[in-house]
Amino acid sequence: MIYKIRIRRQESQKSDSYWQEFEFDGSKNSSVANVLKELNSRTPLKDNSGNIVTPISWECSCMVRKCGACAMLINERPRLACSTFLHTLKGSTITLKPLSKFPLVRDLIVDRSILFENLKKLNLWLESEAYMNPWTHEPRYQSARCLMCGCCLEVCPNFSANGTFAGTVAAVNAFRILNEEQESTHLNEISAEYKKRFFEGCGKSLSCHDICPIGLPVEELLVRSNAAAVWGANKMDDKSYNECMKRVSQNHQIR
Amino acid sequence: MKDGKQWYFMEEKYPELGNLMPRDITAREIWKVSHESEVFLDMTEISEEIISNKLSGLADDCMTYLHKDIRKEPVSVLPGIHYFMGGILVDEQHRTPIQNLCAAGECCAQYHGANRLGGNSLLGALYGGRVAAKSACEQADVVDLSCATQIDFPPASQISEIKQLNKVMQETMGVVRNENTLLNGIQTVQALTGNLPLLGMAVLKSALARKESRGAHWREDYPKSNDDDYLKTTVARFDGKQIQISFVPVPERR
Repeated sequence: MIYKIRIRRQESQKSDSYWQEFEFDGSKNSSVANVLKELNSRTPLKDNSGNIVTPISWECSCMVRKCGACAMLINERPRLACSTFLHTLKGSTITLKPLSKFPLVRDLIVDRSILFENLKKLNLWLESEAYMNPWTHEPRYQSARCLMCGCCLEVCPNFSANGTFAGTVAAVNAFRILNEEQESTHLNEISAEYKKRFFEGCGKSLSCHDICPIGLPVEELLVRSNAAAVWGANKMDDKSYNECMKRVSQNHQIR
Repeated sequence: MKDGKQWYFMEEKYPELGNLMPRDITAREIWKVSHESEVFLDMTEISEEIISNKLSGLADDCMTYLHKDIRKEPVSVLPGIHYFMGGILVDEQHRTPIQNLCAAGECCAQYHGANRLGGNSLLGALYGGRVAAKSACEQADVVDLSCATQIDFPPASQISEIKQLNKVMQETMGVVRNENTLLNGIQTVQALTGNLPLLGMAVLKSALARKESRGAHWREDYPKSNDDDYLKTTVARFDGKQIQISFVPVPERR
C-alpha cells in the first residue's frame, strides 16, 4: 500500500522548521520505525518533489517498546514509533512531528534530559538497603517499567519544561523508592519534594494514564505514591496498607 | 522439520539437557540445521500459568511484532547477536588504560571470557557499576578531570559503507568462522572509512589471531581449544594508524 509520509524537519533549535513529504510503498503491518528506517536507507533520499535531502534524524534503540527512545507525535498523538503500525492509523497520510514539550535538537529528536533532572530533584534514590515488601511487589515492578519516554508529559495540561511540576513520570517512578526507602529522614525529604513537584501541580486530568504506550497502571501508581508521600500511609503495617490500596485501586479503572 | 514431521533435534542429540545446553552449542546446532530447514522454537507445551506469570511480556511481544500466539504455534528462530563478550579492557577496579576513564557493563570486558553464562550480565551491571563508580570517585579526588587524552577518530561512515560492513560482519563473524572468510573480510573492511569499520577491523583481526575455538568463537579450521597457546585475552589497540593485536595472560585464580 502507498502512504504519504509528512515529516516536520528542523536543522537545529534556532533554525526554521519546514515540511518534507515522502512516499512509502510497503506493508500496512510496518511500524512507523520501519518506515523511517526504510526512508533513511535510500541512497540518495529524495522527497516527493524530487529533491535530494539529508537522512531524517530520529532516535531509536530497541525497536520493541522497551527503551522509550522513539517517542514522537504520530498524527498529532505522542506514541512510540516502533509500536505504531500503519494499519492502526486513519488514512494513508502519516504526519510525524517531534514531541512539542521538550527542547528540539534536530528533526524528530528532542532533549528529554529534564525527565532525569526532575527525578534527581525529587531525590529518587535509596539511602538504605531496599525494603522489599512482598505485598507491593507488583506495583513496584510496574513502577520500574517506566520507559521515561515522555508521552505522559506531552499530553499533560499542567506540564511545561520551565515549570516546577515534574509530571506523572515522577509519580510513577517515585512509588518504588517511597515504598523501599527505610531511612526515615530521606523518606521525608523525598515526600517533601514530591508534594512540591508533583502533588501540588497535578490536576488529575489523567490523560497520562490513557496515553502511556506500555499500558502502565498509571492511576494506581499515582494513588499509591500520593498515599505514601502525602498522606503518610507508610505508617500502616504492610498487609493493611496493601489491602487499603487494593480497595482504593478497585474504585478506579485499572488497565 | 524433517520428513514432514517436527524434529526436536536438540532433545535428540543431547538427551540429558536438550535445549538447555549452553548457548554457543545451541546456536551452532540451530545454525547447522538452518541450512536444511527453517528452525522453530516450540513453546506450545508450556503451562498457561507459567506463560501468564513469567512469560507474559514475551507472549505479548510475539503477538505484537510477529503476529504469533506462542501458546498455539512454534515461532521461527535464528541465531542473532545477544551479547558482546569483548569490549573496553578494564582492570579489577573497572579502570581503563585511559586515565580518568572507567567503564562498566556490556561495553567493557573483564570476567565473562569467551562465553557469558545465562543471567551473568547482571554481574557486569551491578558489581561492575558499583566498582566503576567507586573508582571514578577515588580518581576524581586526586586528578584534574580536564586532562583526558584526545585521539582523532575518522569521521562517521556513509550509510552505504555501513551496509557493506553489516554484510561482511554477518558473513565472517557468525556462528562458524574460518581463516579464508576472515581474511576476505579484513580486505573488504580495509577499504571502508569511518569509526565502525575501525571497530569491525579490531574484531576481525582478533578472530583471525585466535587460531582455536573457545566458547562463542568457533573456527571450523581449528575446532578444538588450545589452552597452551590461547588461554589468554586478545587485546586490540589502535595506534592512530593500524589495529595491533596482542595477547595478555588471564589473572591468576584466587
